[in-house]
Amino acid sequence: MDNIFDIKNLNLWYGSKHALQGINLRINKQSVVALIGPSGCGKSTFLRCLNRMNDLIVNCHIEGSILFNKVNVNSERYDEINLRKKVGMVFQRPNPFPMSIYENVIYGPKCQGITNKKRLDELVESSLKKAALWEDVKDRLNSSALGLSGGQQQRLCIARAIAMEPDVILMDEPTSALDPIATAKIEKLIIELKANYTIIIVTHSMQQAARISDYTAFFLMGELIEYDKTDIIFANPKNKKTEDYITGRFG
Amino acid sequence: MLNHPWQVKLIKILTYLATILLVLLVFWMVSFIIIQGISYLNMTLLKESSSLIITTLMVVFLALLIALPLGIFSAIYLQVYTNNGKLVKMMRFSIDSLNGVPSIIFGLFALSFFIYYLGLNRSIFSASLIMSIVVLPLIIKNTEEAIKTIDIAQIQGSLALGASRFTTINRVIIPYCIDGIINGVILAIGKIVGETAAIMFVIGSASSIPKSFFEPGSTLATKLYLIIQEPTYSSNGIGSAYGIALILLLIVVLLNLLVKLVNHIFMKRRG
Ligand SMILES: Nc1ncnc2c1ncn2[C@@H]1O[C@H](COP(=O)(O)OP(=O)(O)OP(=O)(O)O)[C@@H](O)[C@H]1O
Ligand SMILES: [Mg+2]
Repeated sequence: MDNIFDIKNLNLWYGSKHALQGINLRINKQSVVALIGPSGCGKSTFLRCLNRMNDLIVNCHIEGSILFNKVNVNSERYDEINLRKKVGMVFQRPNPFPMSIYENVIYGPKCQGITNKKRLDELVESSLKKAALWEDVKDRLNSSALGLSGGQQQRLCIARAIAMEPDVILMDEPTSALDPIATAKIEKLIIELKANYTIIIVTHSMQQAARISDYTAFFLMGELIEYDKTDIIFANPKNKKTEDYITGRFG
Repeated sequence: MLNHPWQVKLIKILTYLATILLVLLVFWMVSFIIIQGISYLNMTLLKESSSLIITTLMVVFLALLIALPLGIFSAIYLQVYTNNGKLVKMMRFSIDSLNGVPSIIFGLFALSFFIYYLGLNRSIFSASLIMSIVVLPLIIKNTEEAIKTIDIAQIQGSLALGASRFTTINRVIIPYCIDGIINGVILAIGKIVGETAAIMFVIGSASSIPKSFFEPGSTLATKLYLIIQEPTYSSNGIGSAYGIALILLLIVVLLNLLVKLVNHIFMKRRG
């Protein structure tokens, strides 16, 4: 299978703190990859490398290559804005803009210069449908996004990312602020989205990783300890540390 | 610490007293001006002061036109783009110093730099220029305070959607800061309308309605200053001073209402 991301010897420092140490990882197209590991092990840091959000952090220094469709994006010469059009991101806490639902969805496309009203209307409908939110909001597209429930807001954020027609969607603990019902909806959605997108998701829930992901990467203190098919990671991990973590014998 | 009941009580009483005193003082001052001024506030005075009113509004308009973009973008630069380098420290220091400079010093600077050195005419333009510098710190400080309250997740959300920094500033940061900007504008309007020392040497004087920004003029405040100093200057003597003071207060109130109205319409359009 083709890989969409090929990460080679990735090292990251926050000042003098070596937060990611020699990470090597390949990610297949149209798969769901779960990143697991204890708090502070570098999952979010790793995820932010993939759409260059670490650029915003002062004193953050990155070495190594991140090939995205065979092109190294971890380079001054690669425009991070172009990368973010192809690699969308959904955050831990839903962060819709204080605008209408419609405006939220077309924020990305508008930034890309799409102004045709008909095209935007289509994008809004198809994105909201893909994010399983269309039925909930089709009658109130022009009311404020802040009036939605937390789970709906998160699905709107997913729709907003989908509207850019990306190849990859990064999700950093997207359900940790949601109740079990909203969580189940998002999990179902992720599995559906797999047909068209590659999804990389950080999660603290072993069950969630097991339910939705094809591959799982286990991080510990800035290192990638083990990366394999999710079934293998959960049924018979090769590394003792992985086993300790997933069986709960670890922090 | 203050944990004795009587200490708490004392603080409470002092706070009440201070509040009452403050309210009474404001009430007394305003009602004094209204009572004294109302009898002089007639068509003759309004006609007489129409050029003053227009000149004042022109200075407010032009000074804000210069100071607003400059102030907003300085604030954004200070808060968003930079990470406490040398340049930022210097900018901060200049802004803070600017804020503490007495307005007569601005007047002196404006006279020697704009008029004598640059050779500008004494005009509404020169007055607006110096007033834009006077109110710049107000705009910057208030915008900065508002930027500090922005939820960083909003900025991240925008950038993650492939928006440029410019788009993010335009569509996320500025709409979020609008309250802070409005606050700064209201303070700035009060300052501009009431200012005398900073502008009286560079605005010249005239009693007819100015036809452009490059003509001299008198604002309500500079005229008021002259009349108080030399009551024979006006037909009604010191009486018209009260009338003009009342107009000045009304203008400040009306402008503030206008700013709030504009803000309201703006917010409504954004939904
Ligand atoms: N902006 C930053 N500046 C300095 N250090 C940071 C910064 N962000 C993260 N770190 C450090 O880098 C390490 C990895 O952090 P990261 O947020 O990636 O962990 P995580 O695995 O996502 O944890 P969690 O599960 O709690 O979200 C931590 O030790 C953290 O303190
Ligand atoms: Mg994290």
